Amino acid sequence: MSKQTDVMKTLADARPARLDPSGTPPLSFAPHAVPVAAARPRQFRAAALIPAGALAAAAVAAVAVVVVNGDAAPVPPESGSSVQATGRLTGSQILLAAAERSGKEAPGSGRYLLFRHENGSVLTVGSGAATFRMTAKSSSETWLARAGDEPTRVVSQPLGLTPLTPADEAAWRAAGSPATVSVGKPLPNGEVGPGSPVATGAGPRTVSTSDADVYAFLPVRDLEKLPTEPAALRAALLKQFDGGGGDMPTDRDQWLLNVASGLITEVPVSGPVRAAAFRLIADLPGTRSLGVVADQHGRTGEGFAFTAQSAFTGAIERRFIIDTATGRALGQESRVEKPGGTTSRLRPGDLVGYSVVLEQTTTDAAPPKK
Amino acid sequence: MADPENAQEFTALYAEHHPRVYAYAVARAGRPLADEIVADTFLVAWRRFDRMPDGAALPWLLGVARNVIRERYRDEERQRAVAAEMLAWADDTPDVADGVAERSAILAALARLSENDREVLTLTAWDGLSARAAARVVNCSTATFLVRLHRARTRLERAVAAAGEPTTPQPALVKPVVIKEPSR
Repeated sequence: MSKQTDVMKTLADARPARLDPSGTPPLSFAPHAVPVAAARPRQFRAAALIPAGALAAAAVAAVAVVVVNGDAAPVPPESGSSVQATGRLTGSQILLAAAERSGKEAPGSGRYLLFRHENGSVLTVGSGAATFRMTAKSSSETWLARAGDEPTRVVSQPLGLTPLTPADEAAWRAAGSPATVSVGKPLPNGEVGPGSPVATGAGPRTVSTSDADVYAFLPVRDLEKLPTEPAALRAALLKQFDGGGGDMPTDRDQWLLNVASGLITEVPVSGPVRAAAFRLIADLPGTRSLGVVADQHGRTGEGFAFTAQSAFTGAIERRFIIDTATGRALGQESRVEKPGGTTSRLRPGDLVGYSVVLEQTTTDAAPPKK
Repeated sequence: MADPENAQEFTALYAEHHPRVYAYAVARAGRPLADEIVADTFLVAWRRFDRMPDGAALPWLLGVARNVIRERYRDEERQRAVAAEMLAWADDTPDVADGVAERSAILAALARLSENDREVLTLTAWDGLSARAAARVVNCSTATFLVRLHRARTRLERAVAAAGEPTTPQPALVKPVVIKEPSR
């Protein structure tokens, strides 16, 4: 055993039989049933930046991308539609004003970054022969240890499914107000795949800690190291640009819009980093002003939007609502702009998903363990 | 999009690599935790399936498993589990009288090494990875991996020599001596 090759061979020969499983058990989850967003961290709404745990737990909500029966009556846009204001700011004025305010935000002290959201996805569901649309809502609460020495905790809870419009409500009642509806996967042709039963009630709160690297593009411990200068931030983000593809844009500017806007609404970055993100977006082509708009909780702010082009989902208008007093995002929503792919059966203006920022702060409070 | 093609591809990946991810999990955290680690690993792997490098599925999966183990279990918990696992290896001797002593000596020596040494040695000897593939798992360059492997091999030899020809289970199996590796 004096020669090196010998010791390695002896070691190889000593490989314990206990390393071999008695068999291969079935996968602990069914990949074809795991929803889009949970399965792949790239979704049309900067989902690459949404905590994976939140998406996994919000399983129903993540089935997201809406398909509507082609015969459905046209539905007027719900809340969140823009209120035309006279002398409104341009898109880049809104962004620069938001950057100004964000840049002045004092850094918070506290061991954890805490970010609470409500997310909703509009689904076409079935019950018997009837189909109607329901909004699947969920809440998520992300606790990130700023020192990077603890696993990230994501507390999520499905908040249940509610009919989208009065017409959907009537259809749901006509179907006997079912407590379980059938939810299928949206297909690229705009139809819905075979459904599986989903309860319309709220689900239990779950805490997940197993996956510390919650943002696909950003290691948690680098969150607070992101540049606060727009050009440097742009360069830092573009380092992650891998050509896009899937449901991420392949165009660099589109990709940047997607990722940078995620920093505004989905990731608890500091005020100065958010300011840089706003300035970076203001420099990109394609943003426009919505004037004063309300988020899905009815809170008003200045809105800006851009179009996310994708063969997979059609053209989606991504709307962001900014609190003019703080420069922070109140929420965002995605609406069909030009139907195509999974949205081919939808109409322009149809809501496909939203998120509302409930809280973004730093805290020394103890994160929930379970 | 979790399209059926991906799901099929992923299921095939699982069938192919499950035993190897399981073996890695047992060696790093003990048999009782292995199933849980494997399940978590493949769930994380599925979520990041689109980022799997072509032609390097196994090192990538083991790298995911490595992170899952580190993030999920406290060091003491894992070390206890591994110590118990290594005790079980000593009892788990095949019915071949020939080479039993040698086998038990090398397992006892392995148990005395640091976790990092054990990892580079077993990735090579038990998981059968090339230096390049193993370097991907532990997230270092191939050159660095080769240096680590060389050092670990030297320490393994020394540990074997120091133990002579023991025929009984070693106390060291219960309390692995941790040798700090300055480079980590």
